Amino acid sequence: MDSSTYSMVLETSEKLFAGRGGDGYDPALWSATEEAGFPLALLGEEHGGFGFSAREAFAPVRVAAACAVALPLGETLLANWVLSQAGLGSLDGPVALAWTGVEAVPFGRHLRTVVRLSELDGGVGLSLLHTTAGLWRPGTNHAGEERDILIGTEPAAPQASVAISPVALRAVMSTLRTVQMAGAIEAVADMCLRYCNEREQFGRPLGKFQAIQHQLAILATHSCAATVAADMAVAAFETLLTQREVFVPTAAAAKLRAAEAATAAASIAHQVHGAIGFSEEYPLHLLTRRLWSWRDEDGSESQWAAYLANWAQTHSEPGLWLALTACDLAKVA
Amino acid sequence: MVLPTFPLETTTPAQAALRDEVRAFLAEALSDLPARERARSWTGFDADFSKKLGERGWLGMTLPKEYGGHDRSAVDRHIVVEELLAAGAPVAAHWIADRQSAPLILRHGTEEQRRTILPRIAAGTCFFGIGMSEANSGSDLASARTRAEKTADGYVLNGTKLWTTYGHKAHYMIVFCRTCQAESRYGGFSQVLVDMSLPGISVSPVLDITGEHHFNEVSFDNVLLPPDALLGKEGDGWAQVMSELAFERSGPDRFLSSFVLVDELLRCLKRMPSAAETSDLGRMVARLMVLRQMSLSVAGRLARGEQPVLAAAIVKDLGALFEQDVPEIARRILRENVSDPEYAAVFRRILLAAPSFSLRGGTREILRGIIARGLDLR
Repeated sequence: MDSSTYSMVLETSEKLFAGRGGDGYDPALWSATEEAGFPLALLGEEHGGFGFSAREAFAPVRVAAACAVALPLGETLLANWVLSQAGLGSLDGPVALAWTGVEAVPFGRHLRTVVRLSELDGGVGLSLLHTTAGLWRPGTNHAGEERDILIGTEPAAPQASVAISPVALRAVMSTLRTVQMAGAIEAVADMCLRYCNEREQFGRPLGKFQAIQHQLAILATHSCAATVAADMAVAAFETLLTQREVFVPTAAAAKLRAAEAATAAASIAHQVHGAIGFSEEYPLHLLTRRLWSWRDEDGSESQWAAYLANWAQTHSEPGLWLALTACDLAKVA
Repeated sequence: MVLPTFPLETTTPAQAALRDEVRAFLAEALSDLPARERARSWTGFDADFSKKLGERGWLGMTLPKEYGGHDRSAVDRHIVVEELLAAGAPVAAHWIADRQSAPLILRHGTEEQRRTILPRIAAGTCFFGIGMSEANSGSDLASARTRAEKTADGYVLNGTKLWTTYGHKAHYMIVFCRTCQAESRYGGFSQVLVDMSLPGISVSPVLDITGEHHFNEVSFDNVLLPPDALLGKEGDGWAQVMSELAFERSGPDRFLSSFVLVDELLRCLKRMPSAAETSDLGRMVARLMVLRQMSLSVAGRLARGEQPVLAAAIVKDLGALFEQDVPEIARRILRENVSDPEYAAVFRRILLAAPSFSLRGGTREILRGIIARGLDLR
């Protein structure tokens, strides 16, 4: 891992996204994001990317989430990665992956192309659909981010395929939400700490009250856990093509743990902020409403819990411990 | 942002081989140990077993070779400890000595103390008790009243320590005590190394809620200590005891205490779980997977010579919550299996041990205070 590249990516992302948070899709910000090359960051240099590690490639997604910007950055990042796995060239964004016949498509009405996914034997079929505004029935998630339903189109025969199992691709898509949750939870923690240091009641800052301190401590533990969860999933993503049996349970656990942290973080954050945090004017809800949405997007908590429970039961002989340690990441020489 | 970092650790082929080696040894060494005994986790005492671990080079791993150690990294030690705990090995005899006393003696002890004691810890033949809490001094350790008066010949120790696990089997205790008056409430403390065979020491059992004897009250009545009993510098006791606690708080013993019940639960759960049950089970596994990586990350930071006090407190707080939730999750899932005697015995042991998980090594409230202080709250 080249940590200087990582810091550089973080710095560039922060410069780009800081102060740009809000509810609505921002076309100008999207152009700037494409210009920075972030949507191609998972591709090798031969495909127009930078040869980044997964950790570096996901860093802008984390920062964008922390800044609460409404952009299909992670969606386009993953769509281009899937296209490259299928031997197809990358597309100008925004692009998103969408399972045929299922649920709402993130930022649907703003997309140029939808990569429709269908389950095949031993893989996933892809068909590209160039979209127009008329194709969508508009909808939103709890945070007001566009989640639109595709209407009036028949599923097309796959034009290409990837040799990645459907559950593994679902786990890849869920990893996007895990990374976003980790970023947003850290930003929530940050906002709470600043507020509790500034806001005074009974003649002293809120942060001086032990009851508040303990809530903030709990929030910190969850933020750290979510960050580790996201790091685990992203590191395991790197080995997806070589060690499939490791990636899916790791990503499932990461999504579940980040979702648990999201629930706790949002609850504590609103409690310590009091009424102001419940107002539209104060930016806390830009983060907490996203957390409430991302918990259940790309596989709900109960779906991934069922997956992981089944995985654990399957490995109860010769023992869960063996399965857990088999998920440890090997040092890359 | 002021949150601590948890850089992910990756495993080398040598570390993976070490894990396999420990696992193979345990499969044989523990083949006759029933689950109800394994469920004692790190309170199961077996001096012969500790000696066997010492013979294999799995104690005092991070100590230098010249003191009988093995010059291994904190991550290697972490791997061995994880395997021991996951298997429910009876590690109590050497536990305190290997986990915290040996690093303390290495860092603060005299050359003589290092040469005489560390090789015996690494061999698994020398056991330690913790001498911190007292009857009127639990979380508020700075109110400790045990006192070592300096004399021409050394020190005279007086006072009473409480909750000393396996104090009745310990060869030594490291006693946190006052040695002089000081202006600050944290000043004037020192740590002394006490040979438990000295005259004037009495050890009496304190039974826990299961009726078993692990805890002790240890009284020192004019115990004469030689001058070299002082561990580290006089007056530095507070800083030393805090760094000792960092070792005590960071390991896999902070989230694996009830792992044997997780294993037993899965063994007995033959049917398809309901939706509510898979939700509980899946979340439990997810928390465990993330905790493992957090704890391993702390080991990595220790291996690089850092003192990740805040990160360790975070892992311990999350770990204790997990350990305590396991019996609650188990009882929601396996209502019908109380008829399996082994499962029932494991369940009861862990249910009754659970309150201690968020008390020992620093209560939940103390840990959260440490975390809050680390957050720069003004």
